[in-house]
Amino acid sequence: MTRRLFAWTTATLMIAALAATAFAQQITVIMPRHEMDLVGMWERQTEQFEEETGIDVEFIQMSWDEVANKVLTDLAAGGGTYDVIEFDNGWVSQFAATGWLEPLNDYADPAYLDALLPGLLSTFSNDGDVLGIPWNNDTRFFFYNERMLNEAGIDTPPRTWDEVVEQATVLQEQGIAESPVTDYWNQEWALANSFAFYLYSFGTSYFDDAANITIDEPQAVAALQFMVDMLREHEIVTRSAVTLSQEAAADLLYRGTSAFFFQGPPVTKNYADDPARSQVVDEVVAAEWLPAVDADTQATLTLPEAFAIPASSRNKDAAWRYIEYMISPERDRERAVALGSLPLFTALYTDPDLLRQYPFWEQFGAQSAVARPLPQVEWYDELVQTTIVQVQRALLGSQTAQESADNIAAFMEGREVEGTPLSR
Amino acid sequence: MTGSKRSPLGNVALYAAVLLVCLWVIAPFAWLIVSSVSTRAQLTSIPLQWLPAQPNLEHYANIFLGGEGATSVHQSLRRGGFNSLLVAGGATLVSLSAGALAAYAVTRLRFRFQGPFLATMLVTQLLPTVVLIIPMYVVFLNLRLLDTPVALMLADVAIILPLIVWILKGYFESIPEELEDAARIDGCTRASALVRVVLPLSRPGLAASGMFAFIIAWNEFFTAFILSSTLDSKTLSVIVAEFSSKVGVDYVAMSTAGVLTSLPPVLLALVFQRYIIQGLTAGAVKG
Amino acid sequence: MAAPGRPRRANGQDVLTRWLDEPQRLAVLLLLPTLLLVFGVLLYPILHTFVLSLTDTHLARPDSGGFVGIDNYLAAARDPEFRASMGRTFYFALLTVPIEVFLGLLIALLLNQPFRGRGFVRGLIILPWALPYIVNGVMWKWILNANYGAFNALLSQLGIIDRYQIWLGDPATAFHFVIFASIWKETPVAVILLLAALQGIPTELYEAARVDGANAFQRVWSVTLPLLRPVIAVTMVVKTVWALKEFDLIYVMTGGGPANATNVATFYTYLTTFKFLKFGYGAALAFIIVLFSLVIAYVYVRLISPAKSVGSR
Repeated sequence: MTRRLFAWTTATLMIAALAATAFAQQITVIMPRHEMDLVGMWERQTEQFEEETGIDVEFIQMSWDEVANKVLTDLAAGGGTYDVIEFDNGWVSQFAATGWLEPLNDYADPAYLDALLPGLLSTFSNDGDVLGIPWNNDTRFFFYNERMLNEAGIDTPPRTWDEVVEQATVLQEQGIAESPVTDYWNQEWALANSFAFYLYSFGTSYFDDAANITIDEPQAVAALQFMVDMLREHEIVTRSAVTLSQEAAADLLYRGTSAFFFQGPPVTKNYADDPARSQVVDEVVAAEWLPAVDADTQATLTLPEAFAIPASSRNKDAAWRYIEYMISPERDRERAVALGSLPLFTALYTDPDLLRQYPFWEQFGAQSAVARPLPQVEWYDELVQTTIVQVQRALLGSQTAQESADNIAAFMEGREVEGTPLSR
Repeated sequence: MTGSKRSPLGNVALYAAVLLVCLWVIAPFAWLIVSSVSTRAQLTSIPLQWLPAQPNLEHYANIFLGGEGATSVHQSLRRGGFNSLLVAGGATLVSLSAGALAAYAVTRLRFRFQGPFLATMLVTQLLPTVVLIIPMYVVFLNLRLLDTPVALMLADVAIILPLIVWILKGYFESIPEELEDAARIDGCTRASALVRVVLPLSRPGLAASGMFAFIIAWNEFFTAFILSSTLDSKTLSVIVAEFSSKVGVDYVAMSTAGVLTSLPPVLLALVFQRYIIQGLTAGAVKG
Repeated sequence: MAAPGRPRRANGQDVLTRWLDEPQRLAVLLLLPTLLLVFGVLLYPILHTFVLSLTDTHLARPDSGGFVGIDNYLAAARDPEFRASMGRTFYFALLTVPIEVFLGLLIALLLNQPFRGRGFVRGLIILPWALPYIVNGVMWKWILNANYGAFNALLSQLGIIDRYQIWLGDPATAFHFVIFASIWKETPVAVILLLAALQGIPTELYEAARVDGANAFQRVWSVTLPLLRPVIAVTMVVKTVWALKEFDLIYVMTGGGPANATNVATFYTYLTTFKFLKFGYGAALAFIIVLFSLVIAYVYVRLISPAKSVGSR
C-alpha cells in the first residue's frame, strides 16, 4: 500500500514538474545579424530580457537572405515556428494581403508608438494596422571624400546634379579621383534601390498617389537619362559600375578611387575610418544634404526592418513583451552607444551625449528628414526584376532611356496598388 | 597512326600541342590556387603581381586551425565541408545500395516491366533539375524537412541513382552467370550468390560508381541551393556561391573557398581516373 | 528452384529461401528500394509538378491554388521573356555542343598518339570535369573581373589592350564568356568518350590505309571519322540535353545579366518560381523545358539502337 502511494506520488510530482516546464514561457525569435553588431549586442540584450522576465528565448540570428527564406517558407507552410520574426519594409504590402501577421495596435501603448520615428512606424503600418515595430533604421546617406574636395579647391559638396557633374569633372581633370562617382548598378536587387533614389531626387517615382504611372514621363526619364549620361557621356562614374555590388561600390570609396557615394549605408563612415579596410581614413564625411534636381526634391532612401508577430504564434503576449523590451529608449540608447546604430526613437537624435560621440549624426539627422521608403506594392519583386533589366539596357546603351521607361510602364500597367489598377 | 616514325618537326608540333592542352586545362585552376595564397593588396595591384613573394596561408590556417583571425567565414566553410561530406557520403551509400540491388535484378532476373523500367531510368537523366526541385520543395516544405541534410541527400539520390543502375548494369553483365550457377549448385540461394560471388567480383564497378556518385553529389549546387537556407544544411557549393556575391571584394577568401571545395572531387578524380573514365563511358555509350 | 541433392534444412528456412528464390519475387524485392526511391523522389515529383502547372499556385497567396487548366502553358507561349530565354538557351546549346565535340575530337586524336607522359596527360584532362560547377563560375568570374582580373592583366601586360575591359559587363561578351567557361568545363567529357571509342579502332585499319598511300589527314577522314560517327552523334545529343539544363554557371557568373543577356530558360524558371513565388506558372515553364529535352531524348533513343554495332565494350 505504501509502495503504491509512493509510486503515485512520484508520478504525480513528475507530471506536475513536466507541466510546470511546459508552462514556463518560451518564445522563438528570428532576426538578421545587424551588420554593425560585431559584439553580439542583440544577444546580450536578449539574455538580459530572459533574466528580468523569466521568459526563455530561442534566439536565431543569421544573414538577411537566410532569415528571409526561413520566415517566408515557415509562414507559407502555416507558421507556428516563430513568435517574433523579421519584417522587412519590402514585405509590407504582401504580408498585409495574406493576413499572416498579428496587428499590434492592441498591444502597444499610444505613447510608446508616438516616441518612435514617425517615418519608420508608418512604413510598417497598413490601413491603420500597426504590423511591425522597427528595429533597424537603415537609412542611406550621402558620403563624400572631404580631403579630395579641399585639394580641388571645392568648398562645399554638390547640391544639384549639375554641380555633381561640375565637381566630378574638376576632380577628374586634376587627377584627384579616377572615377569620382561610385554606384552599384549590377543586375541585382540593389540596382533598383539606386534607381529609386535617382527617381526621388528628380521629384518623381514609379507612380503617383492617384494610381497614374509616372515612370514614362519626362521627369522620370530624365532621372534615368542622368544616370546614363554620368556613365557614358561625362564618364564620371566608374565604367565597371554595371558589374558592381554595393560592397564593391563602397570599396572604391575606401580605396580612394571615388569621391562621391550617394547612398551609402550608415556603417560607411565606420568602415572608411577603419585602417584595415580603408586607405582614406579620416577623409570621408557625411554631407548635410543630398544632391537633387533642386534643393526641394532632395530625398534619401530608408530601408528599415521591423519585428512582427505572426498570427500563428502561440505566445503572442510573451512575444510582445520581448519587442517592447528590446525596442525601448533604454535599449536603443545602449545600442547606439556600443554599435553606433541609428536610433529608432526621435528623442535620441537630440541626446547631447550621443551627439558628442557621433557628431556626424547631425548630418544624418538632417538627411533623415527627407527619408523615403521604396514603393509599396505587392508585386515589388517582379517590378525589381523588370526595372533592373531595363535600366541596365539603358546604361549599356542598347536602348534609349525613354524606351526603358516605356517598357517598365508597360509592365506596370493594369497591376494593382491598394486595390486600384495603375494606368498610363 | 602508330608504328610510323615521326619527323622531328612532327615531334615538336606534337609536344607543343600537348603542352598547350595541359596549360589550357591547368592554368585557370592554378590561378585560383595562387590567388588563395596571395594577399588582397597583390591581387588588386595594377599591373598585377602574378606570384606572391611569400604564400599567405592565413585563410587556410584559420579554416583548419581556428585561431585569432578566424571569422564566421572560416567557420561556415568548416560547417559547409561537414555538410557536403554528410550529404555526398549519404547519397552515395544509398544510391550504391539501392542501385546494386536494382542492377542485379535487371541483369539476372527476367521480369515483365524491365523495358519500361530502364527507359524511365534513362528519361529521368535527361530532365532539367528544376522540374524535380519544385515539387520536392513543396513536399519538404509541408513536411518541415527544408534545410535538413536528409532533404539534400534525397535530392542527390534522385539525380544519381538512375546513373548508378546503368553503370552497374554494365558491370554485372560482364560477370559470367556460370560463376553464380556454380555457387548455387553448391547450395547458395540467389541472394547469397549475389553477396558472395557477384559483389566481390564487381568491386571495380562499385568503386567506379561510388566515386562517380560522390563527385556528382559533392558538386551539386542547384538542389542544395534551393533546399537549404542556413548552415544547418548548406553545402560548400552553396557557401562558395554566396561568397562570390556577399564577401564580394575579399578575393583571397573567395579563392580559398573555391580551392577547398574543389580539392576532394579533383583529387578523387585524378587518383581514381580510371574508374571515373569507366563510369563516364559506361553511362553514356554502353547500351 | 532448389537444386537437387541440396541437404534438407529446417522447415521454415527452406520455405523462406525457396520463396526468395523465385525470380519474379526476388526481382521485386531487390528492386523495391530503387523503385521506392525512384518513384518517391523522381516520378511523384514529376507528376506533382505537372499538377502544379495546372494551377495558379502562388506561395505568398494562401488562397491561390485553383485549377486553371492549360492557362499557364498558353501564357508561357505568349510570354516574351520566356520565349527570349528559350532562345538564349538554344543559342547556348548551339555554340557549346559543336565546339565541345570538335575540340574534344581534336584533343582525343592528340591523346591517341604515343608520346611520353601520355598517361599523365590523359589523367589530367579530367580536372575541369571534376571541378564543382560553382567553383568553375567563381573562378572565371574572378579571372574576368573588370578591375583586377587575370585576363585583363594578361592582355594588358602583353600589350593587346590598353584599358581593362568589363568583360562581364557587356551583354554580348558576357554571354560568350559564359559559353567559354562552359566549354572549358565540359570538353573533357567529350575527350574521354571519343578517346575510348578511338581506342576501339583496330590499328590494322590504319595500316591498310597507309599501305594504300593515305597520309595522316586522309586516314583520319576515311577511317577514324566514319567509325566514330555513332559515338559523336550520341555525345552531341547527350551534351545538348545537358546544355538545356545549365543553371549553376549563369547564377554565379552573371546572375542572368547584364541586361538579361544570360537569362536562359532554367534561370528564368528559377526566378519565376523561387523569387516571384509563382509556383504554378514556374511549374509550367519547367515542363516546357522538359518537353524539349524529351524530344531530344527521343532522338537519342533512335540513334543508340543502330549504334550497338560499334561495341565500346
